[in-house]
Amino acid sequence: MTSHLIILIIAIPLLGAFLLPLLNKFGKRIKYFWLATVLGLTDIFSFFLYLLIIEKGEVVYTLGAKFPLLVSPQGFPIRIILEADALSGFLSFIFLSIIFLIFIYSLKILSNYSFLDKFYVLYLLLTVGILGFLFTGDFFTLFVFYEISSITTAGLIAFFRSEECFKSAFHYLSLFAVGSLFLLFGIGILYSEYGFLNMGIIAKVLQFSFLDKVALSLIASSLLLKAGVFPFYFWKPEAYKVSPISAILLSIISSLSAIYILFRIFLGVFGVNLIFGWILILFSIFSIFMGIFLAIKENNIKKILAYLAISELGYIILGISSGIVMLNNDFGFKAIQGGLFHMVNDILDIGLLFLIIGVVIYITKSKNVLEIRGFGHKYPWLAGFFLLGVFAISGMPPLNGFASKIIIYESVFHLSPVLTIIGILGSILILAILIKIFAIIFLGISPEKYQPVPKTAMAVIFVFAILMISIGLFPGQFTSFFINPAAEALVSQQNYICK
Amino acid sequence: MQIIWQPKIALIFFLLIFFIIYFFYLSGEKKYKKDTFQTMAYFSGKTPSQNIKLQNIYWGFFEDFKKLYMFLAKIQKENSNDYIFLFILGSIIFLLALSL
Repeated sequence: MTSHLIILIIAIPLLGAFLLPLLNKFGKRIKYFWLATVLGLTDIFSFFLYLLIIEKGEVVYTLGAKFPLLVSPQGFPIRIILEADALSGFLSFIFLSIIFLIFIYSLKILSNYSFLDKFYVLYLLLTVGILGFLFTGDFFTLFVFYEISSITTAGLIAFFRSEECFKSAFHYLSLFAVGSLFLLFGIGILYSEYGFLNMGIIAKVLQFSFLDKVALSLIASSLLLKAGVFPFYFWKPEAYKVSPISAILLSIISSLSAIYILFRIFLGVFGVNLIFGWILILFSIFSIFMGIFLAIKENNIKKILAYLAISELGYIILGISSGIVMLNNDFGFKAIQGGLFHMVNDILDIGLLFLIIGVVIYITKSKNVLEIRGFGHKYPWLAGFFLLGVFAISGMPPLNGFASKIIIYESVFHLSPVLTIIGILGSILILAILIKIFAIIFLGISPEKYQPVPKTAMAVIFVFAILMISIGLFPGQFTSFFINPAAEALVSQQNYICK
Repeated sequence: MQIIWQPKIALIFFLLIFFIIYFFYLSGEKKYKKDTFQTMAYFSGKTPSQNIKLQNIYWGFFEDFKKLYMFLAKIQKENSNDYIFLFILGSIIFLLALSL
């Protein structure tokens, strides 16, 4: 059973998605029970997979046969190969836990809408796309999962079925059609040069010629587009503006998985390249500032948070790419640790803010949340949690955002103090933006009377807050169990992909 | 001396600050009356001729960067053609930088 965990983690949500329309005929309860079982079971399996990796090392799974007969001259099986190490195992567990919590949150928040069965089919398929990104060992499978995640995200953007939603979904789809073409071209170049799709084999024979650089830039551009960072961030605010909160959070997780696979390919296949590292550092700095710069001017709350999500991704890329540039010393490893740690904190911090805004929209039925006043008087708990999210995302101690950002600042300082100053300045501006939003929505006096907060949504918000405080108070324990093995796995590429 | 980040000490510090603030809050004015002049903002001088909305609190920032904001608005019109053009442009810049 344990040897099949990796495929089960992908196959269960895939099966769940295809059976869901059939189960829909048996009523809501059965449908939700099925969804909770599928997501819960996948999450538990991912935790067991992580424990297995910690105990025995990398897990390699060849689809279809344990000892395939068809092998390349180098001895590599010509099949679809899935691989999991401490990094992908850790990310799959964290992402699946968050995806499960988002599902619980959506139970009541989305209950008034029709087409929920289709929504959850897309929800599960996007989960499959994310997991595929994490576990893929060959380029063609990567392309398939890229397509799955793009098409399902477009479907989720169009969920509210308004003209604006369809327009945004169409924009997203047309942009990602070009993005996936770029990815396919990049993979095609590598295949025509070396005759392989397996990342491990290509890493062995790669010469880093001009054609390889073209392939790298095409693959990296398409993955940065999926991540939604500078200079490919423009689709994000438009898509987030019209999407349901659960779909936004899933899209953020999808962005994080794109960052993961980008660094995996960069380090694992193409090897350390300082120019590429510096290009990414430059992109990350621009992401931090463009996100904040555009968020200050914006008047739509979902777009503001979308811009802040872009700037937070900038911090992650800043940490990991600076680490790669400084890989020859200890600070490089620290920077990678900080970047990976911030991946978890990013989804928790920005996730909490989105969850609370989702509840405000659900309760007030308001199209423009920034017209609401005095919400904190009626819902002090929500106001408190929002403030917690504001402080965490701004990197204030003793919360989780601080724990990861301080590692990034300290280690990046040894590459260039300017990068640290820019990072700290960005955090201060994030605080300035969010404090304004807090004052607008939660302070003041409101004459309106609203309904109570859904219990499931409040429970999920509470869990997010607890996780943020716990990680902030005990960062050492969290990093030693999850982050250190993950950072080791990213740096020690010789153990990865059948090398 | 190496200083190590201690979240628990920070938490105790924050709790201490909270209790100090709470002490000041408790020793404050108790005869607070709603809907009187006490709830109105106090201006030590002229009352502003118009209300400044909280949304516009950073208006000076927008004024300073007006040209840049206008340029960004011009190139991001929520249009598929613009998106694809920017994506291809970004990829070309990426390739050029990588080929250096």
